[in-house]
Amino acid sequence: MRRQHPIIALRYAAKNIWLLVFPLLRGIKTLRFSLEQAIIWLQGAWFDILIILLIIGIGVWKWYYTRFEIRSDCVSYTSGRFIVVKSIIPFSSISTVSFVQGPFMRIIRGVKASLDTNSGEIKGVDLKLTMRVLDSERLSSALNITEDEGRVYAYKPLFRRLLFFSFAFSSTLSGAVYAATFFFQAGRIFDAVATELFTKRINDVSERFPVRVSPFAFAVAAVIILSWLISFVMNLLRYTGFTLYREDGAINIKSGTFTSYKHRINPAKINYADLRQNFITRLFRVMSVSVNCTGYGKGKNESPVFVPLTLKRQVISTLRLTLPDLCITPNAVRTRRRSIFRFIWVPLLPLAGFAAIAVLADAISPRLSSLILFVSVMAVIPCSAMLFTRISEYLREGMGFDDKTLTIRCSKGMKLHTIIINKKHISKVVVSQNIFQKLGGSCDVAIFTYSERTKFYLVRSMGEKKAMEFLESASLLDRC
Amino acid sequence: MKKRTLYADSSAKRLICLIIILICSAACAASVIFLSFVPIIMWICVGVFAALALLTGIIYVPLYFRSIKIEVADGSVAVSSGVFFRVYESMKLDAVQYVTLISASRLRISGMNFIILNALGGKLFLPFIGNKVAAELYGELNAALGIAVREDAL
Repeated sequence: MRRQHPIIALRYAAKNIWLLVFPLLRGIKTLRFSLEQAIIWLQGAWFDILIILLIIGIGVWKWYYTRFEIRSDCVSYTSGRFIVVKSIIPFSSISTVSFVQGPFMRIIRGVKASLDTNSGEIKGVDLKLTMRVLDSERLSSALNITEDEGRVYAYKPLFRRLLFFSFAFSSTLSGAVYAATFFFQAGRIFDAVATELFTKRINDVSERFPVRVSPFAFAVAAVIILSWLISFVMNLLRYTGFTLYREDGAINIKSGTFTSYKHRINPAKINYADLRQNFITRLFRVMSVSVNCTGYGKGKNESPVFVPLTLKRQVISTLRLTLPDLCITPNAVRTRRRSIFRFIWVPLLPLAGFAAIAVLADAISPRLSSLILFVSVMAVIPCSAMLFTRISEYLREGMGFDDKTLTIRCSKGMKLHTIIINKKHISKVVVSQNIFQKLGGSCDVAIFTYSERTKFYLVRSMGEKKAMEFLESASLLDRC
Repeated sequence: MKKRTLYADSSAKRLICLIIILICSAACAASVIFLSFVPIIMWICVGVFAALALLTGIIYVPLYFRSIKIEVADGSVAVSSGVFFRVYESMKLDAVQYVTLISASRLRISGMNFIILNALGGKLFLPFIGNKVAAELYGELNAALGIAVREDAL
């Protein structure tokens, strides 16, 4: 059995920082009695030192009695001296192993490893170990699924493409620009109206700024843009050097500049691939791919990216190389053409509502007309985006299948999804009808997938007969 | 796997009852010492802690331990327990991903061993198993997953 990297003792020690409350209480007590300062300080000091030593001692104790062993077929883990916790995780159960190495860990030759299986904690991973680089290499090589398959490079985006696509098509960017514009413009108009109606106050910030805005609007817009910028830089650092390859049967994903991330995924444990688009990226024929595999994308600020935003043909070729079992198939059954209203009523209603409010408010208070017009236009933008998304969804929604896989084209919110799932990873199929659908002979089909959390994808307004025939022919439904 | 029925270890029951009674006695003593200036509240606290000791330490815990029954079969493990509400849980061994053993055997306390079966979509908790039986069962469950557990690891 081997021990973890000694640095983990400090982390274990940090958990007992609450013990410092005792020297604090002691300090309060000594202040009350006001004894000779030097003696008090010395008394306090030795006690504080003792407590700190105790905290470090507990960390070292825990490190000493936490051991792991990488065997040919499993990872064995033991923790504790008196109350012992033992786990043996077979390699066949492991879905993802992640190795994270920050700059500090690189200096001390340590790696944080996380092992996850299709069981255990939903939020966390099953086993977290801080180990030496040599041990992480042994663990990584022990996870080979097939021997001597060699390395197959699948995808490595160019930096300028990653930068350009992240910047241009990031939904965060459009959201931040939208929110910032709203606060800038609304603030400017409101300030003008307020000045006219109430006061002639001149603000330093708005005086210095080329466009006149209220300080509040300026601050909010600046915070939004700054937070986006930070997020953008963080994402760029996180995904720079992104490399996806298949080696000895396992999928490997490497990325990161200062902090390096390496994930080794068992392809048999991938529940499904999710090709994501929105209506803008659909126009440019680009998409990103995420995979649902326990343990991948679970970390803080992590998402299960398999292929960052890239061209559709590159996505298809990458999937063919890395996940040959998951083949995209055309729609064999799709939403009924006459069901268009079902898709567009949600964005249409607020669009009509905002138009009516704008007209009414303008008639009631003409002095606020510029503000009302601006707010209405800004409210119309997301509704219009949603309308276009819903029309895209209406045009593409449906399902197709082959021997092994099912392809579901559907949407959630503003995102268009193409789910490619192995039929073995479908846990449940739900066909539902409301009273109007019953009269019209249509239905909704929800496909539930294997996942740590309950996940399903809904295909709306299918012809009832066609949907049932499709599900039967795809061996997803057996009717008595 | 050897088919058998296991019950909760009685030494763990005695230990838990003893701990509960000791904690309640300490609480009673603290009430008498610190609340003697308000006799009504003091006696209420003493009464509550004494009742708690009686209900949990002398009645509930023994009944709960009596209700625990672990059935091990070839392809599955089942646990039933509960005093007021009886719960029966069964898990197929095919679904088990890995097994965890939590043991206090090094404190020379028998019966404070727990086995957790981590499976697809859930966990099964096998409580209060005797030292020897827990080690055997842990080895058998891992063997069912195709993992050999070495003697020194138990």
